[in-house]
Amino acid sequence: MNVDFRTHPDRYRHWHLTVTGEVARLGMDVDEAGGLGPWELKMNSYDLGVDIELYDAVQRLRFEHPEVKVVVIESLKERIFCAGANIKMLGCSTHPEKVNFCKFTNETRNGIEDASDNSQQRYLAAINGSAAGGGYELALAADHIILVDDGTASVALPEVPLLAVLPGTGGLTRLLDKRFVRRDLADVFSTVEEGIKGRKAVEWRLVDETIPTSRFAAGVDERLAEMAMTSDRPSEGPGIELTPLKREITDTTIRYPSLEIELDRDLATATIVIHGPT
Amino acid sequence: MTRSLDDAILHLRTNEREIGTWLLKTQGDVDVTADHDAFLLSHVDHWAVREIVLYIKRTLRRLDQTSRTTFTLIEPGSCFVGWLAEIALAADRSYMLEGTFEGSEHTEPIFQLTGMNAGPLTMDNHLTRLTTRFWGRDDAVARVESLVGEPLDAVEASDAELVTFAYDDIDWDDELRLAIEERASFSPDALTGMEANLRFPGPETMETKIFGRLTAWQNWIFTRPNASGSDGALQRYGTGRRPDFDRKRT
Repeated sequence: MNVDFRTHPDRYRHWHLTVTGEVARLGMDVDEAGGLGPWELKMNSYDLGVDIELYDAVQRLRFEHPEVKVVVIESLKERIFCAGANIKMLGCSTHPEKVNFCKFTNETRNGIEDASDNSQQRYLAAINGSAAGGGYELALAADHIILVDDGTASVALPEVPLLAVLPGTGGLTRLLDKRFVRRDLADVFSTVEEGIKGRKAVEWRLVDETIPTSRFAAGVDERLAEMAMTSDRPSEGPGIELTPLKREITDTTIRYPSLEIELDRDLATATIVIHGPT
Repeated sequence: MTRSLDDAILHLRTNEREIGTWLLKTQGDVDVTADHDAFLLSHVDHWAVREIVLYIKRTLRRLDQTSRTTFTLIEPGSCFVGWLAEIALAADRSYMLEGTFEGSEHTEPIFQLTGMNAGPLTMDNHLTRLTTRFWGRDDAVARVESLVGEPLDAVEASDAELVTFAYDDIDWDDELRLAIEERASFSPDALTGMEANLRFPGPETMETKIFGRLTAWQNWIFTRPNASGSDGALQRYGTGRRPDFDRKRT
């Protein structure tokens, strides 16, 4: 299967990108039937296809929307934020496929952090329900995490107790090195299948604040307005449109307008020629 | 150009996994490339230029994190200047031609640093590629940074420790063929591990930890029977049956 990383918001199957003034909303609404392979993307779980759209959106927000100062990542599904990487997909994938998927996923999360740290386009994760595994890892890429306080919504890294693997696509590392969660509490958190909710999630530094359901939407909007004030991005465009990237592929060549690749399958080499500015 | 490189890296990584060695070349005018870098550096306070430079940074970081052998070939007609010179510094090895090829319309290749090599394009270890290359040798970093703006031929670039090998046209083809064939004969897994270890000397950062650990720990655990074996947790997930673990610790 050939995976194409080029996409456009008009073709997204899993995300809704809306821009209103200085606020962009990235709504996750994963199409169960839209997986790249024979798996159903239930409960806002994701595969590489979902992440390709997220990467595209993050890039477009930076280039096409200079006026956007803050981005909220939210779920459009009720009581579920994101269930993380799809388990069936992981079970079907080869080792190199999993490594590549995890690497790209983390590169996208680093890109979100780069947008905040260096482009002053801040990110907020508004968790409206269960955020498990990669779902919570995605939230960890944001500057600020709000968890709804409805008695059930939780954040969790259930990989060790549930799947015998690691929340290793930044999960464990971001807990300690970014959010400064105490290591013994991180040990407890990472072995509790059902995760942590409410006040304890704030006390353990897993989220920044909780807001009751009745005030959730308004509370998120208030925080977005505050975060926007910390940005130096211009208030008006125009941005730089990321026009469709032209590419021609044959069995042994790949051609872009400013780059060409020749493959030698006997020697297992790709000769990549990059054209300098003209 | 950066978008093409970004997409090319992702495409080759994902769809051409048996292509184990990438030979990186550039084509263009040295002076135009230097002017382009100077323009970016002098307008970096503008939001759009800032975005372009940050995108170059992220794309070069993606190249650093790619599990393929990367050799840069610096040949006549190339423009390894400034941010394009970063590609040579990112590569596992670089080969530069002394002089030119017989019958070539181009003069000898040039390697030239600009301010772009001395600050904005940091790696995941938060260091420039020059500081990473000369890790622990502050005097060497200062020495090469004093060469910013100097067009260097192969002998000068080699003396400045900016390229791995400088060969004349008599040896060029044979040396490259041997290196490429040798690389193809090694275990891809061993090369992935060796290259990733050697690309990131110096201090760990959150990013180097994450990539290092997801490539090694996380994916090692994934390949173990306790996770992905027929009685492992991934296969048993959702069946109501508990996984059957091999209890031995490493």
